[in-house]
Amino acid sequence: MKNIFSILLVALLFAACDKIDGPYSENPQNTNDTGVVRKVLIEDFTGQKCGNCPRAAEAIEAIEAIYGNKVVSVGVHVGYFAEPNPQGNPKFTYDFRTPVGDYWDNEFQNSAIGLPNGAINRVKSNGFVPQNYTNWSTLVSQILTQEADADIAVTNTYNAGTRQVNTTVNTKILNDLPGNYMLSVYVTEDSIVNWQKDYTITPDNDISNYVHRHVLRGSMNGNVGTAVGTGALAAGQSYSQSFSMTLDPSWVQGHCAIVAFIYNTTTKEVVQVEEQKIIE
Amino acid sequence: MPILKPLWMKIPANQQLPTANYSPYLQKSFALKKTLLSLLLLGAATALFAQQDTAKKSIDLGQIHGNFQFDFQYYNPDSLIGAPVVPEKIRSNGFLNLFYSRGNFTAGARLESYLPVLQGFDPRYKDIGIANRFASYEYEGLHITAGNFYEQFGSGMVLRAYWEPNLGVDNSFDGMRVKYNPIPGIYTKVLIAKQRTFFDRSPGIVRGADGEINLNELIAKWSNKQFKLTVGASGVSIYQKDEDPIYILPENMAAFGGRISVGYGKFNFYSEYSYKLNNPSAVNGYIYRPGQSLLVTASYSQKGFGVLLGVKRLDNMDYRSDRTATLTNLTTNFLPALTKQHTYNLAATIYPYGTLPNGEMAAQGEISYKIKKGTKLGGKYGTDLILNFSAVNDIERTAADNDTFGYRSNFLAISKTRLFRDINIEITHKWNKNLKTNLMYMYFEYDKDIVQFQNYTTTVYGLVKGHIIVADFNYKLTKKAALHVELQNLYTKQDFGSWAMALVELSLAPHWFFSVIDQYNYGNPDKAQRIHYVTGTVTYIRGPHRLMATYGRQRAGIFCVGGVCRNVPASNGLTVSVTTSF
Repeated sequence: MKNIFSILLVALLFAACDKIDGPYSENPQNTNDTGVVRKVLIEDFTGQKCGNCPRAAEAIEAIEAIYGNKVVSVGVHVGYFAEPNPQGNPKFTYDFRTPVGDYWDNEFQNSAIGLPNGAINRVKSNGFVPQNYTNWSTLVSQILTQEADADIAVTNTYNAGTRQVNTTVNTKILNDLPGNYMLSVYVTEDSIVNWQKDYTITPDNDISNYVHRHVLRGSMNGNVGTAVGTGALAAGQSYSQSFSMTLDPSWVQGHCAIVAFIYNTTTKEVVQVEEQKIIE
Repeated sequence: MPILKPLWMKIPANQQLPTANYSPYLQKSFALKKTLLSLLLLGAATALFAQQDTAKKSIDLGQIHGNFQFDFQYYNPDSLIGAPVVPEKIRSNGFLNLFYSRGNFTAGARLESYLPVLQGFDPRYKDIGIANRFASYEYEGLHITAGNFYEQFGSGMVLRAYWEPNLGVDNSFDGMRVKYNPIPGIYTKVLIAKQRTFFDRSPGIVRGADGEINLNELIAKWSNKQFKLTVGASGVSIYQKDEDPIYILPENMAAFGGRISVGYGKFNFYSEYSYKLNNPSAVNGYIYRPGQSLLVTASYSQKGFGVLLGVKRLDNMDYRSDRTATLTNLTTNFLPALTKQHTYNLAATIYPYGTLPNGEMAAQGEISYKIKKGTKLGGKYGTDLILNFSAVNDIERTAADNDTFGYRSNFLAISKTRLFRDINIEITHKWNKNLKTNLMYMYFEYDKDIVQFQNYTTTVYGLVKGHIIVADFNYKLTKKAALHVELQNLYTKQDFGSWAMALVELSLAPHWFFSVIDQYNYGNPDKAQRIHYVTGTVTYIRGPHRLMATYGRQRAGIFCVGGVCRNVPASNGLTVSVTTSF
């Protein structure tokens, strides 16, 4: 009797498999939405000496190709693989790291787990915030089905003479949000051409003219940001905050953008994110 | 005898985790080298207490036993070796296993603490939690388990869950298992479970079944036969939902395997084949190619002489209960390395080989011979010789019709890319009552780009070639005191150059052990990096209890699996380890 049970289960196992004969890829559609979209923040924890990290950057490009500006990406350079070589060395002497990036790396332990990995709206999947890049598109598509709880508008004015950026972030709450919330305002610079290791490139892994996308340059309001309101946020409320920062002389202002996002202080999850270039 | 290393130092500093050379079929004719540590643990694990009532009509209250390990490390920053500042200064790992058994019933639980986890371990081991809990009952050939359990089908290539706390590996099944042994010789197992990941469970559900027939037990006439035959078959299926917007992924992945073990007198033959259906995952780069593996071993052993041969092919055989998992997280099967598991420090920690799940072809052979005592070369006690070689090459890959399948590789097609070579000979000789020596010479080749970094396209380090010589002396000073000295040299012109190692260990029976070890990278092309990594250890053992304190420097390392690399930082400081069992 029990023998038959085992045999049946083995037979079931033979049936319990899916063989995909093609097609292998879906045609994901980006829906045209009216109204406010819940955008997704992708933080790619990476390093210039991490030979596997360009795969994660490619994953972001595939996601951006589908969802366009519904995703906001930031490259956060952290840990051992982001450590620059000492000056005088021919390669990898640029320091892409930032205090705010190191702060969140210490919080989520991205570099200690192993690079590349990333945070998708800093939500926890299988218990943890850091996610392998093969899971990013899944998490992005899931978050995009949720309705927006807030609407963020970012306005920048840039003074070319002083290189000062003045940013105003207007947040409108759409649904009641219990808990405490912080606003973080990041500065990113796109298209920085410098060294990057890539294990798939022959004959030399070290690429001197790799285009680093949306690199986190710093925060306008500290590592953890500034509070939005006090306590729970009610639907209909609006908050306006202004910040200013002087761009480093080496940054190309035309490539810089401001990324503003609101997150829950307990869960760390991002509620809404918006990106706006400094110069349109 | 090899040194008793600080526990965390078991993670080889530069390299991938050494995978245990599992198959029991391979170990039959080996002259096993037991480390001091494993001897102690073996002794400790067998220390069982029964609580018994002394009254005439004794009530069986059952038995409680368990084991405990607690390691903590104090970290000093050391800029010379790159040991970073550790804000907490002290980090620790600990666990307590408790088991209760009464008659046919057993239950147990394990508590683990990471406050915070020691450097080098995955930081997702955090805080404290119950990592394992189970109950099991056995009755007339039926054995049921609910909760966490470890299991293996055959050699583990189809399914294996195991626990190795010093490497931070625990992929236990958490669910239900039924083992049924209806008549002698027939063994069946069925399980449905998730797997443990840190203090949580896998997203995928594993379903497995295994059947094995031992004809010598089954057929009464065969029980004393010289000819022994066992056959087995197993299947595994993992269900994980496809929520990926880009790929159409198989939600039910499956793998099957068959095995046969034949013995005749002193000969033994074992073979296992397994096949995996499409399983796009982070480790294989999301290709739809099926996977295959084949393991064949044969051995002959008699008193004083043994021969072992083994061949293995792996092609895309990694699978896990989360297709996005990497490093050592959530593996559902275990792919053994068909290379010698060295215990000598420089042979084991500088260039250790770790199985490449995406493909390899390996062969291993070993001859062990004992030169009889009384002969000229044998001396008074005899001389043991072990000659071993292993070779690993990549599998031959040609372009597939379509990137979706990754590559094409004919069965048994070997590539010219050499991944690993190891030819070594060990000579053990006891000179007199007090002195025993072991000499080893080894020639090795190691493709650092592929084996350590899984970089198949570019040559950065190249094929590292070198020689290792070991001289190992054990000398009994007095009835209670013994001295153990090891001198090792790894000679290579490539990578970080040559290393030398010296170890001196004094043991004062029955309780005390003192040792000093120095690893010196004298051949490093960068003169500033020619560093001595010195550590001193004091160990106190009393019965099943052991207290060990180590002070010194440990090297950094990088380890990569499945497209993710983790840096294990160097450290300098004091490590204390307490273990006991009851």
